[in-house]
Amino acid sequence: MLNRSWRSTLASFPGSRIINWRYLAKPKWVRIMERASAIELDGAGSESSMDSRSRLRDLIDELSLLKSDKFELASGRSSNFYFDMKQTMLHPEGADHIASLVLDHMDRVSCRYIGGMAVGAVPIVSQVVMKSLTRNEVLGFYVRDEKKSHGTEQQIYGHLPDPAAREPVVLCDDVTTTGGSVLKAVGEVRKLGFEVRSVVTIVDRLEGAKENLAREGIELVALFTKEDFIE
Amino acid sequence: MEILAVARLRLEFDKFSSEGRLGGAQPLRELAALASKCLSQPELSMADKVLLFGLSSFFDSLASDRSERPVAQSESDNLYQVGHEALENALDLIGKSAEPEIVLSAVSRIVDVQLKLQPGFEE
Repeated sequence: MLNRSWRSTLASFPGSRIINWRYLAKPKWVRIMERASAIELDGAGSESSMDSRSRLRDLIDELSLLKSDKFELASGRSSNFYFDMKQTMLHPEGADHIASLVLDHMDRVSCRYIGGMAVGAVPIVSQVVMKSLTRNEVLGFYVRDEKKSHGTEQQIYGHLPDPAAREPVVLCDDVTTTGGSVLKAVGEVRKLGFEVRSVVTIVDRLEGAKENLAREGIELVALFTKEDFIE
Repeated sequence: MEILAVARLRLEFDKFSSEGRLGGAQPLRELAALASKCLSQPELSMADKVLLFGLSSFFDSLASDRSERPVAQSESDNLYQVGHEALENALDLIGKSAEPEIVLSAVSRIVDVQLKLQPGFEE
């Protein structure tokens, strides 16, 4: 919306018709206004969430959904589509919408800690933590695939709740298929005695993750499912 | 004990192969972990350890390469075409007290497969 308005504003100046504004970079004042309006919208409730969700769906469809080839998933199963979520998670607008929607969930479940399996969940955790500065503060951590054999020999890095306070944590993942990766994180977090309140995923491929997590007593909250993209 | 671990590695390899899942990052990581676990068995011969080390490195590097990126089905088909026989051969030799040159030849075949699976490889 703002994109169109700044172009039309500039286009109204005399002599501007000879310039194709579409190919010009966004002026700094437009970027500042956009940022300010994004921060205001965050506190606005469900309407802004719906806008974020709708825009994020479009971005995922445009940047992350690959359908031109046959793919092999991490589980070894093959599929006619693939969600390369890094394209959206590492896009400024995509990152912003993901962080907003995950923070909405954190508010709903009253949770202050978010974590996930490295490497997939690290961008989400970082963006949520950063974005939380303008809302309720959230602290993050990540779980390594394997314990380091040197140094501190840790497997979980970052901020975890004080064990005595028994605060629950939320885990996240970019895409869930069977939930294998996030279940590994659940196991590691539980080993340290923490309760996993829920798992948030950007896209659930609807191939068993919800059921497998439910068996562990954990709710899977998907911002989208494959049905939002594939008919 | 080591027989059980090696048998499990073989069993999983055959299972993933028959299911057509050998090229996935998770199955490859499981195979790497199993081969690496076998390596820690003190009863194994040096020849077996060399074979297991070759297999573990192969599975591990392929799993790392295939994590966190879209993997085209054609890449996995390529793994079956180029590498399955060499991997099966190395697994067959474990526990057979094979001659050193046969073991070396099996390991060099695995290294060869690894090179052939690299992007942009041309014969």
